[in-house]
Amino acid sequence: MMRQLWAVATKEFIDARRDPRSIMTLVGYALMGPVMMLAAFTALVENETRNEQQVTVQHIDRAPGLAQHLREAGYRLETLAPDIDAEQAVGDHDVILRPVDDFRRRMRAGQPAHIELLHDSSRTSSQSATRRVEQTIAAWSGELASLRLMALGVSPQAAQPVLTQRRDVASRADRAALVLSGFQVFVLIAAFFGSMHVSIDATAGERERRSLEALLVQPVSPLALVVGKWLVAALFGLLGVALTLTAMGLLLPMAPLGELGIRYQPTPMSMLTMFALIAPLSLLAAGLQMLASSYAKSFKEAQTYLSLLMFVPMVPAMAVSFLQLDAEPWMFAVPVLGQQQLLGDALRELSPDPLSWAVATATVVGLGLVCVIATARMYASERMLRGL
Amino acid sequence: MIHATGLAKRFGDVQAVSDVSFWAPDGAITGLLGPNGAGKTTAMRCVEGLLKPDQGHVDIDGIRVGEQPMAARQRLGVLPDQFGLYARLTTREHLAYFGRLHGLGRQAVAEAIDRVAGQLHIDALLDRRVEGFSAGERMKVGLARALLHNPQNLVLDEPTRGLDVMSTRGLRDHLRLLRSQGRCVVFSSHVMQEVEELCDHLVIVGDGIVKAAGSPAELCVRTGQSRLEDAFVRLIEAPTGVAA
Repeated sequence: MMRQLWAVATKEFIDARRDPRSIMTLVGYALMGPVMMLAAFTALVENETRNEQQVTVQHIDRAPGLAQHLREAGYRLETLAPDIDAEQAVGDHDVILRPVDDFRRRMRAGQPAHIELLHDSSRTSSQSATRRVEQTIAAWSGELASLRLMALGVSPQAAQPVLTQRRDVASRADRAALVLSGFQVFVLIAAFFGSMHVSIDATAGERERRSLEALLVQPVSPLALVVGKWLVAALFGLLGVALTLTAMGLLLPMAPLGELGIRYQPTPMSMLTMFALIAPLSLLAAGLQMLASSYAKSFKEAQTYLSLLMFVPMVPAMAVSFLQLDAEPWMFAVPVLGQQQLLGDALRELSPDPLSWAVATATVVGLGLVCVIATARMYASERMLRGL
Repeated sequence: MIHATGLAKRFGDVQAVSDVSFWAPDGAITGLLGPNGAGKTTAMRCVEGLLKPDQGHVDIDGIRVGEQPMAARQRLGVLPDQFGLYARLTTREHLAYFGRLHGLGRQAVAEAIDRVAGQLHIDALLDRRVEGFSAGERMKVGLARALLHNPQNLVLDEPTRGLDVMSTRGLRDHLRLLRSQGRCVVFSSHVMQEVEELCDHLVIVGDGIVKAAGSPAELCVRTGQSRLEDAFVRLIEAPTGVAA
């Protein structure tokens, strides 16, 4: 049995290693996540810092005091000619500041004077620029209010009965974990992606190429066949996780995380820890994929099943992040979700709890074995010959 | 020696085989002959232990397939109709894989590969990957794989399909060689000429039952035909088999 199992595993490994598509899915996916994250962080930081010193204004001559305040606050004013339709022009500018035509009269009369901010809420760059300009105007308005109160002989403090003070107690690592949650998803999916092609090729692919019958007539127990194939598929899942983590470790330090107030320095040790947390998941991923692909008559059919199946284990993890639930002990017993929680702790630089790890690992390994046994039963049954 | 007794197998509403018995002795080539859908493949799969017959049983060298499928398969070599090879493996890797599945150790595998490579003249193919092999070369690899564990019995499912004249002749010569070594060879076919030339014993299967059995010459005499093809058509169309 062991010799046969090993024979199957060796053959499947050679076969998968020589399949350019197996290697392409493995490497392509492992690099895609980290590269995308690096690009996303760089774009985010650029966006946060890009328009800091610039604002587009129209009819600013109606509010010379504001113009001066903006300049003092470090803005460079870009003036839009008065005859241009600002609503049309807002597409090319993040925000257009425009005092309304009776601004000066109302200001003199001590009535609220209006300033229009034209923006496009469907664009994130417009949103953040608008928020910044609004804050600057509010500060100027506050200064004017204080001056008016003093002119009336009232202390400006009378207009501020309550003041709020924000103190962010989230540690830098906490904030990093929030931003790096995208990272978690990529690493979790890597366990599924790495093994996908190999799982399909070893099951539905074997049926499609008509080599299955020759294999089934050998004096081999179906369990040895399935376990041998499973181990190789899981190995590719592990390689996927390892490659993704390595790529993250190399690429993330290049991202301008510091400018977002995040300090995250991946170390070889933290990468190894995360690998140990995620590794067992690849056993479940490969098992599920083998079981589903064994029902498929062709490679394409199996791909259809698996692309749908990929999302099923992700559902609990996604639900928890959308609903923003806090970590609960039961979550560790839910496949994928458990690994996600463990990974989150690791990113927060908390040392993983051995009991949680054991529960999460036992769940995925157990379910992986259930899948393998179900697949072996399928291989032992006459249903396997259907379509041959 | 393969002995099938009263095989019956139903898939849902379809009675694929209702009563198939045949005896394939050692030192002879037995042909399973029948139109498409007659139940040949189902009967073959019962022999290989892939299907469990609803009724009846198969014995390979006295070992009951249903009770000891692994032991029975040890004595059986199979060449399926599509040869079923892995494009990315070399011939040697194929042979090593299947040798190890049969439980052979490293040394035994190497010896077995040398033996079948010599018999089938495939030394030049050993270290080439199977993708790009001609149909004839693929057949040789498939046959080498089936003979690797030196089985007493060999089952071939339409082995000459897609082969050119030279490869067909080569296969025929090899099957004769196996017969002369005292092995039991069973193969299914559509090609009358080939069956007539090669088989010592024919089993005509139609509508899930055995319509007739005997040597090609006997079947011709029995139906009063001079050509096997005409005898075959008579037997298949006859309502109750042998008596006709």
